[in-house]
Amino acid sequence: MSPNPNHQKFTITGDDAPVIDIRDLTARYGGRTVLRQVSLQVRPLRILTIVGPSGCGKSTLLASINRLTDLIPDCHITGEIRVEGQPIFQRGYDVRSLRRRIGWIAQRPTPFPLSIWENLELPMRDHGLGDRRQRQQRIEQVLHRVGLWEEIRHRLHAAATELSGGQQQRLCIARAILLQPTILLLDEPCSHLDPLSAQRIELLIKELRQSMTIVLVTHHLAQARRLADDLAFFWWRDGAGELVEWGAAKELFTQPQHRLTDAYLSGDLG
Amino acid sequence: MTDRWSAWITGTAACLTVAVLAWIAADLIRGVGVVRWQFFVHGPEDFGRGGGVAPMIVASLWLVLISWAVVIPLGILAATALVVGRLHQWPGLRWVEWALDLLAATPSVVIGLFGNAFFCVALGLGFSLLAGGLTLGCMTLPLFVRTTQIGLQAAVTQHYATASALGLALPTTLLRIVLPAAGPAMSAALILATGRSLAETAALIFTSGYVPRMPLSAFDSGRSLSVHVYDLAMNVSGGDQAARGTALVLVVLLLAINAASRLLLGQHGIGILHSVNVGRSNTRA
Ligand SMILES: Nc1ncnc2c1ncn2[C@@H]1O[C@H](COP(=O)(O)OP(=O)(O)OP(=O)(O)O)[C@@H](O)[C@H]1O
Ligand SMILES: [Mg+2]
Repeated sequence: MSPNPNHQKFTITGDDAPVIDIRDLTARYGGRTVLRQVSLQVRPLRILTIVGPSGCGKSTLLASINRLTDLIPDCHITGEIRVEGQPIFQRGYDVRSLRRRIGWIAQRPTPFPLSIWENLELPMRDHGLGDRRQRQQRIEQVLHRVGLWEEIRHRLHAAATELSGGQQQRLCIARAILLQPTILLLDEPCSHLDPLSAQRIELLIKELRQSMTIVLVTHHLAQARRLADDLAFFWWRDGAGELVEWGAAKELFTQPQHRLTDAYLSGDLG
Repeated sequence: MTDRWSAWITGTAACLTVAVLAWIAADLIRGVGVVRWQFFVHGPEDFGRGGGVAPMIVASLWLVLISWAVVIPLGILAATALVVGRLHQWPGLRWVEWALDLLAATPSVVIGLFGNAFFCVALGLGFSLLAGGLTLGCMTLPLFVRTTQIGLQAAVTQHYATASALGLALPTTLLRIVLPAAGPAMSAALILATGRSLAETAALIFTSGYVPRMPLSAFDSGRSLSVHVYDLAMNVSGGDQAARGTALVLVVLLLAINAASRLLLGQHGIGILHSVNVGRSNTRA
């Protein structure tokens, strides 16, 4: 058993300065602590995968990175998160720009009740990205990138809700990356999809890793094994989620420091 | 056993509802006799026993349009404010909602007295369709606001987090996503409000009056269809048949207005809100 619960298996220096730096993050809903003293760093252009049992605060952690937790009235966050060096909880911090730079994909696809095209164009226009023609080009490019172009090119003006679940999820990813984020937060993006759609999303995540830093929450250990560069394992202690161990995924899978990590990753737990 | 019982109870309730509807329909159909095309274009004769209801139709349309002019813009703004207020946890919001519910439950006679004191006397509008329409607007505003608010709240619950995560500005989220998504709720709210307006008599007797003359402008007084039905049924002996005919016209008018409000705010309404917005954002881009 490791003496340090937040045992870290590499040192971060120079070019590898963390894109997201979380220090002593504690989250409470009302008076109830759901996430305690989490310190974690996300390296640039890597996939950090977060695993752990249901309810241990993975979604809460993700939502605090783009300050989506601001929307929950009784959610109280302490500690610090730096994104690209900037402390995001500072007074006067530009949250709108933060959220443009951080894409967030929810468990269930969340298209707006608009057409496919409007779903993609509206956020770009709201952020003043490009003129009409440039937006058109970008949208086509990105639809190619997420592998949707051939499937939907003939019905760009159909309602987005008419797409299949897997297509909707890829549309949501396209919508997020059209804003040219540097970070992508994915909260169990495949959990409501069939295996084939899930596989497509996995391939897409792998491809996106070349140009953005990715944080992925998943319950699917095989998926974590396939995708993760780094791995963070959360577990319950005294009714709140805590980070048990994190580091390079290979090492966590092969020689974890913590007995719980070993048991969980080998499938003996949860 | 319980299944059998619940089937019986719901079945009886359904039959009773249908029976009431059938009764109303039968009564209305008996009115068909008096409804010829002259009924729509002539004024009443012999205290309404003969002639038609053209002035009342015109008066009712005026009243509904004026009340819409109050209810639609004010109501959408107010409902939006309530929803945004809830997002930002404005203090005192519950009191505003409580006041609206209280107002919605206020008897229409009381609203009529208020309308008379405020619009007719204080604002000097006298007995006029304008005063009547504004009174109806005040009367139905709370109902419209609360019903619209429910629709908006549902859309906010569904889409606000996603919109925020994309960094969308609040006006964009409201105008492009939340309001269009609440279109059907708004249209339902408008139908409810209009139904109450068309059925109203008490609030109108003090405000728009009951002169059965063709109104020439919103500043004329006028008699609505409901007031006419009431007058024929209560004050004019031998007016029953004309009352049934007028009621039939009232129901048909209500159906027509349902269709119109659906067009304005429902499925097609989304398109309308939409084109307005596309126009706006194009000029900015
Ligand atoms: N809006 C909220 N208000 C109050 N409590 C909440 C709220 N959202 C989440 N919680 C609580 O916080 C804890 C952590 O929730 P969270 O959704 O972050 O867990 P999770 O690890 O993502 O779970 P899952 O794997 O099931 O998605 C849970 O116990 C949950 O009940
Ligand atoms: Mg979750």
